Amino acid sequence: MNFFGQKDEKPAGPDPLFAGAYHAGALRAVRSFVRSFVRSFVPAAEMEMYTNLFNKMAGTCYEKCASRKHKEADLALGEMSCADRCVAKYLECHEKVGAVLQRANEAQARMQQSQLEMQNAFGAGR
Amino acid sequence: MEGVQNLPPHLQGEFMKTLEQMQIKDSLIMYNTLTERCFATCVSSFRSKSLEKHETTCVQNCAERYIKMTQRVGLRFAEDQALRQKRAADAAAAAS
Repeated sequence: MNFFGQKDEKPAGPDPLFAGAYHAGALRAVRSFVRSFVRSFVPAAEMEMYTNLFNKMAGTCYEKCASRKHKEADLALGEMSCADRCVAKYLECHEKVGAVLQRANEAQARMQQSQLEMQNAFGAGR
Repeated sequence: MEGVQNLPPHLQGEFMKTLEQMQIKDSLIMYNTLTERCFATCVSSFRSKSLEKHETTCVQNCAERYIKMTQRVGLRFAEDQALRQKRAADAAAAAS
């Protein structure tokens, strides 16, 4: 029984679709972190999450790094290195937010557990 | 959620499973939205590949405040729902 109350499943393999787009090391870190955050996803839900993550990351990094002048079709050198750093920072940010969420969920689970124990104790005492 | 009790038992189980799936999906969406929001607010320099100290603090605070806000909003929402149900029940009792 995992965090979401599901049976543990084998985690999905590497996704070929995004293999070229991501910095491989950062993605591995996020993947292993996500798997510890939620013991096992429904594979489709995990896939959807990564798709969502990629879309949001691409949109955010475009907003942060790409100039709106649109004088040329190619990206400038500065824009390209900005994009590399943006991806790395975004994935790190994703990891940090996941850690905060995990702590909050654990705290809530502990609170619910103690509430349950209190209820049982009260019920037994009657 | 009175509609749930109206369902026959075998459909109730299925509903609970569907509800759980929806909750999982929603929490993943929340995770991604939160990351996007906090990144947009907190990170503005791209001199290095890793987050700077003040950016890390900002992101962590952003996430915690969002969670607390969500909890508070949920609390008030639940109160409002309970009030509405009570009013509806009172109205029904007065009408009968």
